[in-house]
Order: sequence, then structure tokens, then C-alpha cells
Amino acid sequence: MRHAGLGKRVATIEGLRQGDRLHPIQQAWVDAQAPQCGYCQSGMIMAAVALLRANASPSDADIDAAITNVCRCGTYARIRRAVHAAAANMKKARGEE
Amino acid sequence: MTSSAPRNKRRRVLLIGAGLVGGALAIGAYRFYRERDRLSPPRALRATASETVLTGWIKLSTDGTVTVQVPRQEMGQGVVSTLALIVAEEMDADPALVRFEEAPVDPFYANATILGDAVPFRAEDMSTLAQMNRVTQFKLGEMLGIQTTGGSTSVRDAWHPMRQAGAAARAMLLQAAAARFGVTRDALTVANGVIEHKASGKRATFGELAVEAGKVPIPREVELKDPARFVLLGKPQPRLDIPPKVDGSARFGIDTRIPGMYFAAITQCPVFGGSVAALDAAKAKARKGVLDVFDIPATSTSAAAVVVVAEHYWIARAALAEVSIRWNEGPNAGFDTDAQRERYEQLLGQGDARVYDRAGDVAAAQGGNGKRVTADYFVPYLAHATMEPINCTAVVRSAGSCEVWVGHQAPTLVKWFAARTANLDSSRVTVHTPYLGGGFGRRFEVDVVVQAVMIAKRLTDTLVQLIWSREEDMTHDVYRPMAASRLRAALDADGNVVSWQHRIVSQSCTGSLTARLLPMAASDLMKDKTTSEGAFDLAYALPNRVVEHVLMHEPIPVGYWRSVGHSLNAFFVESFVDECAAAAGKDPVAFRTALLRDAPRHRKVLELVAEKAGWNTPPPAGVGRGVAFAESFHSIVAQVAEVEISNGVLRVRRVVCAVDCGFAVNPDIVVAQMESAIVFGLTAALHGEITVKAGRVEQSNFPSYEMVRLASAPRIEVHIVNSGLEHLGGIGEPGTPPIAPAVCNALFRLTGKRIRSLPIRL
Repeated sequence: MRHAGLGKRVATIEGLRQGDRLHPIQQAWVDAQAPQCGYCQSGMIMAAVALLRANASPSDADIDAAITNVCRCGTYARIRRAVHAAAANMKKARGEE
Repeated sequence: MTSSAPRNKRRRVLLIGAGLVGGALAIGAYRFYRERDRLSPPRALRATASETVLTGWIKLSTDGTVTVQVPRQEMGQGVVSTLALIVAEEMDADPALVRFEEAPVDPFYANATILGDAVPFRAEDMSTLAQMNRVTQFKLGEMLGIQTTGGSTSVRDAWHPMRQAGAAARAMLLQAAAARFGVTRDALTVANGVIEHKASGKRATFGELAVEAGKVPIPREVELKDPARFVLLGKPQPRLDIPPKVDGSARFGIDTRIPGMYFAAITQCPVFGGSVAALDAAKAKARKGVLDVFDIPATSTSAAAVVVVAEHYWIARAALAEVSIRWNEGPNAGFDTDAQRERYEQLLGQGDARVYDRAGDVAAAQGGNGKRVTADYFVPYLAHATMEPINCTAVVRSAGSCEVWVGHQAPTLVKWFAARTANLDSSRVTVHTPYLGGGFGRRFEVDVVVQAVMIAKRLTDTLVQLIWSREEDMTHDVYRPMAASRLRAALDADGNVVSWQHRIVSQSCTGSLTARLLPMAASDLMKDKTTSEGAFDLAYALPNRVVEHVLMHEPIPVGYWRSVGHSLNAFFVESFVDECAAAAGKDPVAFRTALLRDAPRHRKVLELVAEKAGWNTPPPAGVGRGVAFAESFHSIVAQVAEVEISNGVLRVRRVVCAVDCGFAVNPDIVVAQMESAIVFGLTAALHGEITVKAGRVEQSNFPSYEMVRLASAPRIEVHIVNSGLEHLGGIGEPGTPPIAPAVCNALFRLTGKRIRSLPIRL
């Protein structure tokens, strides 16, 4: 069986932290107090990382289309809020605002 | 069942069965009346050299860290943070130095409230029988000593003892400081983990006083804080479990990794109650990395299965696919939920039922010349579908001990059932309970624990992690019961409900669980409250009423599913109340307000949700608005849902929710739990359906058991009413019951069509 990820770079939640500081997306997750059971949240955060890498200021519809992960605890509203907050903070950090 | 189990364990297991069916006949009065000590540290509580134990709930380190023992399991409901905060508040500790720790498994930490809540009597019933049942059940809970997380009871059970522990620790620290400074205790002030003698300027931190405070006897009489002086409780506080859940460091049961461990994949008999007839494992055993392939028998708690143990989980999965298995499908190979539904619907109009509540004279009240309303409703089986697959890691050591790692809602049951399966005394079993990747009642079951220990017992001294695939979980869950329901009402000329009759046909979750945990104690003698909760105990003024239940037995195991009986009964009752309002030509909110004439606290919640939802202003074009109301787990919740239909698809765009849980200990968690419970209930209303054909569950994974996702999640607004500490209620479940009827009632206002069977089909 050939592995689909062979020769590719794989980023996981453990590699997101920048030294002592949380990645802005992780920080937005803390600020929104998004996780509940937390099991799906690593996937949610990585999906948000991929989304914001491709689209620096996603609309609600962009978020709906990009993040289709299941959260059984229903943290969706807070995830949406966290993605928007992270996008704004990252923009600010780049001096775009 | 092993008959060689030690006697004391068998006695305790017998008591669980007795408790679950509501009885306590086997209990000696001398134990019954002994007050439970909830302060003295149990022997199981261990501390490090730098820690001082201040009551059974608190360890104080010389560096000032306050480690609160949390005996409830964190499955998303925020319990570790809430309980730690309760202690910190009474201690006047520095919240930045407060940590939590999984409490050891010990009767000291048992949850008695969950059993106390399980009696089938209305709240206002103060008859001797009702009171005796309540006290007996609570005392039974204390004596059984089962550590459980469920029934939205954690805060109510912990509220008094954990406040008392915090206050006792504070008093011990004050006494230590008074002795050190040579002053009286009342000359000292405490704030943020620092004790000061203002007159002399002397001060000491909790950490500096830890060793001396540990020598002070635990005071039995302590004054609790006036809630008006709370600085932490009642205000939004960040959760302690969130930082590890955003950086990947949180450890769930499935993350258990110990050098040298093996992994097991499992396939269980697809038909309920079947067994393994034959298997050919030659090919699987030859696969590199495979340690063993064998079958395990069914037990009262778990299904017969074939297991592959290998160095890695994917090797085990691949090898399992190569095992050829012949099942003996047993007596249930013809079981079909369509036929079951027909049976249930027939029983709505014929045969005996057990009365849960009766008042007035229903027959006489029907004699008027007002309107009659009758409707039949139906809900299917539902799966829990937790995100973390069902798993358990275990080792049975040849030295005669067993160790188990599992995210579980009842660690005490894990201990007992691991012991029974390994044929050891429960004192020889150590249970570790990491975070739960969702519970919702599913992780109250010991199925995977029993299987993992069976595997570990066969492979002595080998650590094995058993993981169920999602398909195994969905086809071998303990489901929310299927239920049929008929409601009949008579209205007088003014549209008042003068007669109310409700019949529910379903299995009993408590009966099903008892049959799993202790088959010999299974009995229909006691009425299971959960079949009829949310139907027999309504706050509505219904002077002439009968609420009755027809108990069914099926080969499909049923279990507690977030909000249990309330989740289905609220759909029946609140849909029907809406039908009555329409028949009476009255506004749904005004109609309910009139029914709540004797319940001002309830009325206030309903009025608040109506106001916040803008009930009295028309919704935008193409939008329907519906209301529903339910009291459960001592909390009151009202919801208004706004729905629209676009391209033939129903969309819930907004939900406004009002909740009165007495006192919101951490308001942000209350909001989060309402959001969560609404999405959970909405998934069930829009999509949830488990069907059985030829004895097999037809759904297997998310493509056939769809979930609400980001794109379909509504906007949710939550409003909290704090009616007072005397009304403290639960918060993990009460948000679920109203959402299905609120959505269906909204759909009726939009389309004129009544939904009487879930999931909703347009």
C-alpha cells in the first residue's frame, strides 16, 4: 500500500505553537472558550489553519465550505467566532489594519 | 457472571441492581442513619512531600498551588473547572494557582444525588411514600459509593461538601496564621491566597502556611460565604481544561501510550444476542505483527466478538478483515424496527399500562362540549456517536493485579467489572480516567472494559488497547429508546385544557442497564422514572390528567442518552401543547403562560424567551417561529426556534434560549452547555434515526447517521435567569429537550404541517 502522505510535509496541532506563545488561531480558540470535550478540536484548529492560509479574511460561507468536521459537542458557533477573531488578529499583526 | 467473585463485591453489585430498580430493602438501618463524612481525607488520597492535605478535596503545595480533587469526569461540560472554582471561592484562593486532579476511585467521592433524583414522584409530592423513596435512594447512593458523572448532578452533588471543604481549609489556614503571627483569627483578612494582619503588616501566602495548616484539625462547623460576597462564582471564568485542548496535550483514553503495548481490533456479532459459531484465523495470524486472534464470548454487558491483537492498530484492523467468521445469529435474526413500530402503535390504544401520575377525573372532564384534540407521535432509536471511538486499555498482571485506562462516566463500575472479569478483588484494580472524548450517557457502559479485560486476562502481563471502529460503535451502542406516544385533551369553551391523557410505549433504560450490570436483579417491579420524566411531572396546570407507560422488552439494548426520557417526552408534550393552542385559537406563548398559572418561576423563563426572540413582532417573510418549554434536571429552559426552507431543505437559522438553573456558577459554561445541548438535540430532530433490519443496525458511520455541522448550525442566543441558590439545577442536559418541538412548532407556523414523527421529513 502506498501512503498518500509519502514525501509530503505534515503539520499537526503539536507543531503549531510558536515557542512559548500559542499560534494566533489557538489563542482565538482560548479567547472564545471554544472546546468542550475537545476531541475534535485539533482537527478543527488545523482546518482553520489551512483555511486562513488560503484565505486571510474568510466570510461565513467560506468557513462553512472549508470546515466540514463534525463536533458532537456543538461548538460550531464558537469556532466560527474564533476563526473570524483569528483572521482579524493575524491581519493586525501583519500591519494590514 | 462468575460465581467465584469475592462475597463483598457480589453484595455491592447486588446493591447496584437494587438501587437501579429503586429499592433499598437490603440495607441495615444502622448504616442508613449514619451521617456520611464528606471532609476527612480518604485513605486513597495520596500527596507528595511538598503537599499538605486539607480535607479530602484539597491538596495545598508549599509553592501555593491548590490542587482540587475532582471526582467527576470531564466530558466537555466543564465540570473540572466548575468544581475547582467552588473550592477556590470558599478558600479565597488565588484562582491562578488553582489546579484540578482526577480524584481517586473511593466511596468518599460517590455521587448520591444521581440516585436521589431517580424516584418517579412529582416534585411537589411530599407524601410519606415519595419522601421515603427520596431519602432511601439518596442514602443508597451514599452507601453504594459509586462515582458517576451523569444526570446533570455534578454541581448539585458537590455544592455543599466542596464549599464546606474550601471553607474548612480556609479556617485551617487562618488558625495557622493566627498562631504564627501571635494574633487572634478575627484580626486577619484573607484574599487571593494571602492572609494579612493589617495592624502589624504581617502577611503570609497559603503556600507559606501549608505545613502548619495541615496540623490543624479539620473543623466540622464552618461558616460558608454569603453568596453576595462571591468573587469568582457567578461570573464567567476561563476553563482549566481549554489550554491543553488547543495545543494537543490533552490526553483522552485513546491517547494512552505505554511502551510495549499492543492494540486490538474487534468485530462483534452483527445480530444482537448472537455468538461466534466458527472462525478461520490462519491467514490473519500469519500477518506480520499479529500477536493473537481469538473470539470472546458474550456477557450480560458485551456482545460476542472476534479480536485481533497486533503491534499496531492498523495491522490489527487489516488482519481482522482477513478472518473468516461464521456467526450463530441466534433468536433475533428476524428483528425489524418497522414491525416494532407497528407493535408500539397498536399498544397506544389497547392493553394495560402503568400509571405514573393521575389527578382529578379525566372521564368526567371530557363530558363538556369543547374541542377534543388527539395526536400520536413517534421517535426512533438513536445512537450516541461520541467523537472519541470507544476504547479501553488494560493489563492483567500475573502477580494478581489489573490496571485499566478508560474515559468513563462511572470509574467505580469500571473497577468492579474489571475485577469481576479478571477474577480479582476490586482492591487489586487500578483505574485511570483520562478525558472523555464525549460521553452523553454512552460512556456509562462497561462493555468495552469487560472486553478489554477479557483480552488482557488471556494475554497476561501484556498491555492491550482495544479500539472499536466507529462502525462497531454505531451498531453496538445502547440506544435512546424508540417510543410511541398518544396524547388526548379536552378543551372547554374558553380553550382551557380540562382533560389530559398521555400514554407512552417504550423500553426502560434503567431496566435495560440493570439487566446488563446485574441480570439477576432485573425486575419490572419498580417503575423507571426515566420512561415518563418530562411527561408525568409537568409544571402545567392540568387538573384532570392521567400519564401512563407501557413497558416493552426488546433485544435492542437501550441506555441513557443526553437528557434521557426528557428528550423524547418534551417532543411529545410540547408538540401537543402547540396543537392544543392551535385548536383553541390561541397564541402558543400565551397558551403556555396560562398553563403555567401556578408556576411563576417557569412563566418568567417563558416570558423572557418570548421577549428576547421578539415573539410579538412578526418574523421576516419566509421564516417560521416556534416555541417550546421543558423543565429537566431541576432547571427550566424555554426556546424559540426560527426556521426557513430553502431549496426544499429545512434550515434552523436562529435559536433563542432562556434558562433558569437557579444560580449560574460559571455563566459562560451555562451558555456553552445550552449551545451544545441545542445542537445535539437538533442533530436528532433533523437527522437521527437508527433502524434495525434482520437483527442488524442499518446505519454504520456519519454518511448514514448525519450530524449538524458548521454550515447547518443555527445562531444561538442564551439568556440566563438566576432565581436563587435554593433552585440550583443541572446544566449539561436541560438544553436538549425543547429544541425538537421548538423546531417542529416553527415549521407548523411556516407551513401548516405538523411533524409527529422524528426525524423531520418535509
